[in-house]
Amino acid sequence: MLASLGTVLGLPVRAAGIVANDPLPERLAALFPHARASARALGIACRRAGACAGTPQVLAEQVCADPAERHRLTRCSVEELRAWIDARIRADFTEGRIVRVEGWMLSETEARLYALVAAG
Amino acid sequence: MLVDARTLSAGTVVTCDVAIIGAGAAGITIAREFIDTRTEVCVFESGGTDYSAETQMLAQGGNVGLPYFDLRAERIRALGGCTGHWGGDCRPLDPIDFATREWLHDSGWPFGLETLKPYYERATQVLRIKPYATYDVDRSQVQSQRPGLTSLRFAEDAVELRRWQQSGPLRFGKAFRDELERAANVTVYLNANLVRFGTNDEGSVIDSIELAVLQGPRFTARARLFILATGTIENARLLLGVPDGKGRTFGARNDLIGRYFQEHPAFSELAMLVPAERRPLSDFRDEVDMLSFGFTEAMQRRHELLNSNFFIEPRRIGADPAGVVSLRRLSGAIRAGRLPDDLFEHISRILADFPAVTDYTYRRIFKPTSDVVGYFEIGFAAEQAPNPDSRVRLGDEVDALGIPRVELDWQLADIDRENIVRTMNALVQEVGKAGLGRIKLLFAEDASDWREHLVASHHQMGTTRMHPDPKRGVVDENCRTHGVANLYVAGGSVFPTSGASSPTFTIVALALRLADHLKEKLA
Repeated sequence: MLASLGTVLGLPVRAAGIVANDPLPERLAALFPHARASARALGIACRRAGACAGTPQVLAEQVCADPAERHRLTRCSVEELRAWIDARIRADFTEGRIVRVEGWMLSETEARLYALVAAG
Repeated sequence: MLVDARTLSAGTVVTCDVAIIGAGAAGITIAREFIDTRTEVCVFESGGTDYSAETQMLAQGGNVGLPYFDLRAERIRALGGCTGHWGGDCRPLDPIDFATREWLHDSGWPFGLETLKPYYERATQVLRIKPYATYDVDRSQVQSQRPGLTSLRFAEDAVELRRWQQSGPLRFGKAFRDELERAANVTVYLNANLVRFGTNDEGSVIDSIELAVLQGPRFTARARLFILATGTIENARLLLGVPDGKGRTFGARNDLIGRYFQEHPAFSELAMLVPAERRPLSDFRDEVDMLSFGFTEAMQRRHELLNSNFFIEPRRIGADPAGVVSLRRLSGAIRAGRLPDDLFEHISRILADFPAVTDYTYRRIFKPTSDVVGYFEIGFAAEQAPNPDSRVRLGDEVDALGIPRVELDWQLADIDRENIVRTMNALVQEVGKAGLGRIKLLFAEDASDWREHLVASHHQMGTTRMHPDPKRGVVDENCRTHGVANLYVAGGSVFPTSGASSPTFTIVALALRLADHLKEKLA
């Protein structure tokens, strides 16, 4: 989903291979290697709208609160990480965890990802 | 047979079994059902076979509520009625439209879709469209015919594809004129306007009606059964304003007459959907099917929504400049018969972006096929919640025949406005869940700017609503006026709720059902 989300928001996302043992915030921020400026702009908008706040570490914990799962996500492949985020975003929409940022209706998870980039 | 009432002598009395007032879709449909039967039918049409400015003046009225179309131009007083300028879109109501819904006050028809289905089937023949089964959408088949819209693969339990049919559009005045002229037992009196009901002392039985020609003779029609089929606004106006011999009107007896006026409020440019999958604009053209998206019954129940049909219009990549947006806003407002408050701002934007506006107009005309869809513009046309404060009433002025002119006070309730937010939020969820893209909402978070997006649909319904209880309706389940033994009402005015489908198909189906009932009554 993140690939398509990237397309939607003009953020081309490409596979970056397996990045092992990275702290989760950095891994999440690295999901936008070719559109970091756009992601950052969106993240600033998200923060300005009050949709999400906090340090990259806090935001990453909000994206994934479960320590065991966080541990797994820091070690899994990028594809697995993207699939996990994709499922998380869809679940956000299903559960109504949606934020409005300058009219854009984003899932809380994706808004946090952008905010995380902006905070980095 | 067609008779110009202007040729009648004053005081003429015509006698028939069934007197139909109004020769639009409903009136003509009922009359045709009696052709070659033993029943003598008279149809009284206010206009002639063609549009006449003088007759059309009788339709003049005021709009005192939400901005609405010029009432003089909105209805046609001529043989065929409003089918003379309708769009021809045909779609039955959905099952939920007939249901009593706990979140929608005054909802519920006295019968369900199953009752109306056989009449819808017959209505397809009247309207010269494909059989009713055509409305059963086979997604897999549709997809191959229309790759663009169906590429938006919503969850099937949430969003359904709905098929529409085009009737031509069938102009009833032209299509059935010869048949009516040849009919030995049906006489259509042209240029004949209802000006008085003749009733018994209690006002519970009509024995005659008085009709007037503009600047011409008055004459009388006696019949066993009378059917008012003059359209939603005029049906209410005549019941409210036409007196009987004692100066009484039906409106004085039933305060519900004229209330619950419903439209299909359409909200344009509510959102843009940027799709996850890019497709050429050509994927959305030359469609075999007329399709729309709507929420399933389960979804409507879950989110307590009013029924609606989404417009999902593909647009090229790249945001349109402000001038083009203003041009579209202005065009939409003019089509809706009004000018926006910020007219000069829009004009200045159009002038400032003139090259882009020219390019946009060029693209609209020549439609190049190589472009890629950048986003979809989203709006929807909704069912309007039944609302007693949305109403037709009589004004202070009278027309050339002394009947009070109408005032239309179209109102939307809080639930209609809240429905914008609920509907769009539900769509946002479905788009996100299905991974179809992202939506940008173009209206205020509380939809406080709803008026800027509102356009009416030329669909008028509800002013003589159907309900078995006289305290809750004007006509009963057979469209007979409560308290009057032999006065029936046909047309969109009897709809208790409006659904989201264009009304004419249902009007014709209900007219066929009423014709069957009248035949039983006369037998």
